[in-house]
Amino acid sequence: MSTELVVDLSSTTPPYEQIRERLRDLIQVGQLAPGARLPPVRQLAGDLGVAPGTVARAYKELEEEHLLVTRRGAGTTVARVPADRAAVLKARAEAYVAHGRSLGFSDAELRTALDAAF
Amino acid sequence: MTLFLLALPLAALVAVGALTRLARRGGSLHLREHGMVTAARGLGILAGVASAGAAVSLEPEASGRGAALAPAVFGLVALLFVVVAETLVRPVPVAGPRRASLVSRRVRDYAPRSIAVPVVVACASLTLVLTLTTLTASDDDLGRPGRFFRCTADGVSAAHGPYPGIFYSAPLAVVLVLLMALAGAAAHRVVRRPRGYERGAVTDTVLRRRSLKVVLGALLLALCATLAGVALLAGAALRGVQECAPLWAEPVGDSLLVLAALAVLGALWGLWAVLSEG
Repeated sequence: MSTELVVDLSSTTPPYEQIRERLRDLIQVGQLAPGARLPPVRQLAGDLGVAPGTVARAYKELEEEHLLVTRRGAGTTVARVPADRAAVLKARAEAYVAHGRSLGFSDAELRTALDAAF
Repeated sequence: MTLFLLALPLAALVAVGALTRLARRGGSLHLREHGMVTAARGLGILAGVASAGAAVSLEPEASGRGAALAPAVFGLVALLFVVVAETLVRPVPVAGPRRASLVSRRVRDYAPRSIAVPVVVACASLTLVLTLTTLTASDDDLGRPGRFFRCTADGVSAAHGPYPGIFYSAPLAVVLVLLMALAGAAAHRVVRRPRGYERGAVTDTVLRRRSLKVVLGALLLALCATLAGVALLAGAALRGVQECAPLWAEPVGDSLLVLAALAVLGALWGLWAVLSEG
């Protein structure tokens, strides 16, 4: 598993939310397999240069969503949840369309922009 | 001379502090980080040599206790600088997007087997030899406990020293436990420290492996140099009381002399590991 986590501290999205979103996506598309062990809070926080509480909060919220499991001595692992790649893609597409429409782009312009991106 | 030996580790620590401040300034970040960590390790080796020299020269009674402790003291100080280098000199991440691997890093994934296996063997051998010598040692002529090997048979008695009984093994055990604890802390720190300026996962792994090689190399050097001295003294003492020696003394003495020679090779292997990556 060589997946990386990227956090942009200049973004308006809080770091804990960026971490949570990214981990949720990776779990839901199956890039983080069920049972995969995540790095300890301090390691991840140290690498990202954020407070341990930031990572701990992201882990805790994902536990509450039943996507992660933390056991004493075993660390934090990915819960046994089926991957749903289509749902993640659909959510991303819907967010793109909603954001584009909010900026005043027509559906045709959004489709053209998407095609051009390939 | 003594004052100089005492002041050198202190001066080296001050120098590491200065390096830390330099490392956190701008400039060519990768080169600066690498240069500072290497310099801190180099200072650690110098400070370790000075501290080992101080351990020998500051000993109040010329009993050889300082010399017995010197290799472990060297390792202790050298490892302390490795911890400082990995903790303070490695700079904090710069502004902008930050990356982190989702792999849980463990010491055993980064420790080079070519050094880790000899460390385990040296540690087990040293424990075994010190246990044997502690259990079989006697008082010396001045009544100091555990400093000579004595035997008596058929009205003939003989003594040979110095022999690494409790007089040497007790302080040695304390320093060795500290050494192992510090090596563990250093290894843990190397694996857990943030990436610093190094962004690539492959290079990051290489840097951590190099740092662990230095940690284990310093530990191997300290353990093997200590083992060489202990085994040589014990072997010579056991072979030096032939008038009344118990049956086991000769084969064990010969084995210890062979072990001393192997330990010298191990110490050289550890020294190479430290210098090649230092």
